Amino acid sequence: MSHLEFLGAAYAAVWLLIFGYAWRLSRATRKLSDRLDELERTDRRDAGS
Amino acid sequence: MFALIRKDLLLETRSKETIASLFLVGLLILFIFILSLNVEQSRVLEVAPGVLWAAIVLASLLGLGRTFLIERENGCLAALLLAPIDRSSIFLAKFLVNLLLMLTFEALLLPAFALFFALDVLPALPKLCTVLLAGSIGLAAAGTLFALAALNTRSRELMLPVLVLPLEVPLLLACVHATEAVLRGASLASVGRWAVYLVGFDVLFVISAWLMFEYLDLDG
Amino acid sequence: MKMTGDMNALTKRFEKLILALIPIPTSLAVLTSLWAVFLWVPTERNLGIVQRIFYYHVPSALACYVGFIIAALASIAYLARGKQVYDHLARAGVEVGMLFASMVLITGPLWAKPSWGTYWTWDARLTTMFVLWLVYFAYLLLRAFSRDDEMGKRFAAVLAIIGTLDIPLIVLATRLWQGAHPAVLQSTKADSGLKDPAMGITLAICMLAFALLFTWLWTLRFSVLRMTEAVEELEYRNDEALAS
Repeated sequence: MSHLEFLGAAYAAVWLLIFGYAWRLSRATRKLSDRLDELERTDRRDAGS
Repeated sequence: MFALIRKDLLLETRSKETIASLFLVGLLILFIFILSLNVEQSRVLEVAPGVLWAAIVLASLLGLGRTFLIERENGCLAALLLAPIDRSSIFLAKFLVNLLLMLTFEALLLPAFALFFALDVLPALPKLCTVLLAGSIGLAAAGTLFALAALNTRSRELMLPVLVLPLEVPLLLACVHATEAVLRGASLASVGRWAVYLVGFDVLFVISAWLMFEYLDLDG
Repeated sequence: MKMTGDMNALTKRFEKLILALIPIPTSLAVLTSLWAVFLWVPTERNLGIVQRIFYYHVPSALACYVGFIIAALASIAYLARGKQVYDHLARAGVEVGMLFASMVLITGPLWAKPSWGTYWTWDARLTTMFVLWLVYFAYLLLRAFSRDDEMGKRFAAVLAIIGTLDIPLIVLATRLWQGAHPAVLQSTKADSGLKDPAMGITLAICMLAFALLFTWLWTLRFSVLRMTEAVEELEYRNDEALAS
């Protein structure tokens, strides 16, 4: 493997890890945020009734 | 606390299961290593200390969970926690019992080790025993602390090596090299720095484990 | 289990603040670092272009240590105070720390092989990083396999603390070991090679970028943990309401 390929592999690994993790986290954030809104609506409804 | 120690020791001496099984496992590990490694007698000291400690560590990991496992299965753990003693004292009791178990096991294993590797350990015996003691203290401290953690998981005893071994890596490094130095009859200086390290490690681990046991919410 | 108390409100506010403010500076820092590393900084004479890996390798290590130390401190707070928020901070710290540790362990060998001919060496820095990786991997396994009770979380906290306390022990043991058998290869931190001031600046830019990245990812992870707890709390209450 040429030096350039090592360099490329290293940077690719770093960015894949960071983006992959950040992607997973933002998906989870969105899902949880929606669920949380939904639950808070039901909660408020129950409290009101 | 002494009552606890007496109780566990009594259990062990009556059944002798643990010691016998530990000894057999240790023996088998030594044997398997000898079969799979092709070492000339002239170079035996390069390999033997490592094999010895591998056997000690692997066998003890199997044995260390037992003192808690028995309690848990008998539902004694809850009763124990209600007793008016420090949590830390429970740790000390278990730690000392485990340490005693390990030392007994090592005492039995050592002659076999010397025999299998054709090593004359007698001249180095006191120093060797010191190294074994120091290593066992560290192993027992970490093992006792995390044995309960491992039992609290779905994979139970399988977790204990996973939890303890990474933390013990520096200890094992020191033990193997100290053992090698002692068996080679090395100077006091070269053994000395490993010895100092071992003492430092043990002090840190035992005190940390003892302190932290207090903060574990064992009622859960 | 209710999330009350000043600590929770405080962390919630910080969390929102960080998540709102941090994306732009982080993106800028990252882009600048890429420019600096690939287009600006001169090539190191001895090691060639592969040496550029160094500019990401070292900041990753730093971010990793920061993560683990934060986790240890948060774990101490958790053992002392018992508030769930500390447990979340610790867990997030370990996860993000592990992410960066993995980066160190991947970039290290990729740098070492073309530079010094071998993928791995047992010098103090790499060995320490590897052992830490094992210790905190064990932490993640413990969290995954423990029953979801106080005891599981507390044991994890103990592991996080002892793991960090172990760091000097590992370094010392490796040095004692390598002292007898000196490593043939250089350690991976070529601080003697920073001859050009541009290299120092590039490193500083990358450190900044990684510090910001760490903060962002850590806060995001913490936020996910906090929201998961809130969701579980609300679902529990809803079930209770339905039952009654």
